[in-house]
Amino acid sequence: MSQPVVVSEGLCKWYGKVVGINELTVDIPPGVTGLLGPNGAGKSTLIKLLVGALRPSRGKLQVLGQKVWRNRDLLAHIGYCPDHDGVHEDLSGTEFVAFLARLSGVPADKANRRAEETLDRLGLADARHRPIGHYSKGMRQRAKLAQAIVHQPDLLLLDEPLTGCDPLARVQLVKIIKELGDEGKVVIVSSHILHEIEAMTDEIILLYKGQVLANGNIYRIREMIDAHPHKIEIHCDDSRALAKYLVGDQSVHSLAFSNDNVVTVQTRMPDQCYPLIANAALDNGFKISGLNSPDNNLQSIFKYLTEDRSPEGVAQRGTTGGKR
Amino acid sequence: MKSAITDQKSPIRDLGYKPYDGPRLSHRGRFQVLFRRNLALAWASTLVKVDLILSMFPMVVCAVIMYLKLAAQKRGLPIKEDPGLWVFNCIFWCQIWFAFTMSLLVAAPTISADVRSGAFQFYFARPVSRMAYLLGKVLSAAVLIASILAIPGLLLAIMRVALAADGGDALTQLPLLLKTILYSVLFTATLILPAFALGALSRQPGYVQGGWAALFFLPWLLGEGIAAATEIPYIALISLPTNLRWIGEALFGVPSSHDLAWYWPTGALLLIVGCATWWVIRRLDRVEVFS
Repeated sequence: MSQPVVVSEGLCKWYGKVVGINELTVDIPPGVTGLLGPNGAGKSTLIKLLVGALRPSRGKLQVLGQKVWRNRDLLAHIGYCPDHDGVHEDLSGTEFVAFLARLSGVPADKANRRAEETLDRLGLADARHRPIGHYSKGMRQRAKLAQAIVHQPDLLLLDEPLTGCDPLARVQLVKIIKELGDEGKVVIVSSHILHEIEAMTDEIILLYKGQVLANGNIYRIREMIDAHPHKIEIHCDDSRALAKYLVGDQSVHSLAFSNDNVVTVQTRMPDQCYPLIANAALDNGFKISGLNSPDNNLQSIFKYLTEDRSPEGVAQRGTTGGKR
Repeated sequence: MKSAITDQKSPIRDLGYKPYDGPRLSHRGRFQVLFRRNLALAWASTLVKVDLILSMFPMVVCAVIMYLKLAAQKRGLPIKEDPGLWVFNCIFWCQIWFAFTMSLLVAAPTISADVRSGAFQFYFARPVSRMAYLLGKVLSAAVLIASILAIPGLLLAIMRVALAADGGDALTQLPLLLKTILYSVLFTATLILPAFALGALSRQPGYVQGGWAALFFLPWLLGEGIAAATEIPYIALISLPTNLRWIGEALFGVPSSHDLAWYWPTGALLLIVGCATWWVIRRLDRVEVFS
């Protein structure tokens, strides 16, 4: 396995009495890594610690083998796209990106050209001479991403980069972020929207209340679900008859009715349960108009991992957190 | 940094990434980028331009008065004070209002506006030190304020030297140029650093501007008023303008309006400005970027 780009051990950040990051121990490898968690989980705090905007209260934090706080040499190799706008609205896209490129150390004679190339790449070629104050939210996000990559950093930290973007802008940004990862950039991207992360990477870190809840490949984490009841929502013309057919099977853990046409099956053996439903339709002629698995995405994993944070619950899943 | 990326078996290279190998500016020059940007931002303001243009008018009036006095002096008419004192009169009694207005526009709200807008996130996520940030911001404000104070002052001083009665008089007046520069620098620092210190206290530029106006005028009014009533001149040392006036009087040889030696207002002013500088550096040094 490649060397980790980010190494943290017992990292803590307190805002007075409020805990932002709590004893966080994690290694982040190269490639695109998603930081996932609800609002207040500590995603932005962790990213600000990584970019040296916050000073760690305790613990060790190294990025590219160096400490971060007050390390200007390191900051020249980091690109940061904050969640907050904070841009000079009177500046044009090119001026904004070129100004920040110069602050990153790009010489004046190259800054404008590089800014224009970067904005072109992000689909802002036509808008680059317009004031940022006239940009849509999606365009601002792309301008912020442009300033983060204009100096060609080794590590890219993106804090909620898709917030406020329209669907088209989201697709474009996801594509660009994946491209950056493919180019070999180390990208750490945060979001509280699960499918956003899922679209960008398989490697995730789930944060909750400043702690790592789980990390690793999304599919490996997904395997943890297998021991947990898995929901299948079936839209059927006769849900009660279908339920009667299913109820005797060992793969079915429980049944619930949302309305006359929808039955929700809970199973611990989804591999057996899905064929059973298919057979029900084939053998008994049930007209199944929809089959949803609300568990079959990151949302379910996150919910599963966060719904029981009691010591017993944590102990049961003791191997899910910490270092990879 | 280099060792982390190139000397070790870097994971970045494992993925085929080619690190940027173009030139980068040294960290030392970063304040110039901020300086130019801040100056451009200030110049974009109509109020700043109006203030700068209006500030040149008192100089014309003072120049006319100085010329008339010099002409009268040449004709042998009795002139009580040297016409060169109009340099001080112009700077202190006329330019102070425009310079203060400029400090209100470009110095007081600078830090708080950056905190409020979240600009720190962009600045301090880059190789920009707190001192480089402060230097860039202070210098841009200083250029504007000093131009209001020093340009009229220096032009008047040059005029005084140029219209000297003879070579000896011109040589005698030459230090006036140096005094004008020194006074303008002190004046500029007094109008900038306490304003920046206040700006580091609040996220609301409006509050900072109000606070700066109060800090500048209230002690002036109260200090001089109480000092006059109690006949204790030391009380007036709490006022920035009073200290500037007394220092100016000592520097330009204006008949003194008080009994204190020059080092009293100088010490008080340096103490206030020094504390303000210490405070703003301390605040910025400890700043963490929240949004």
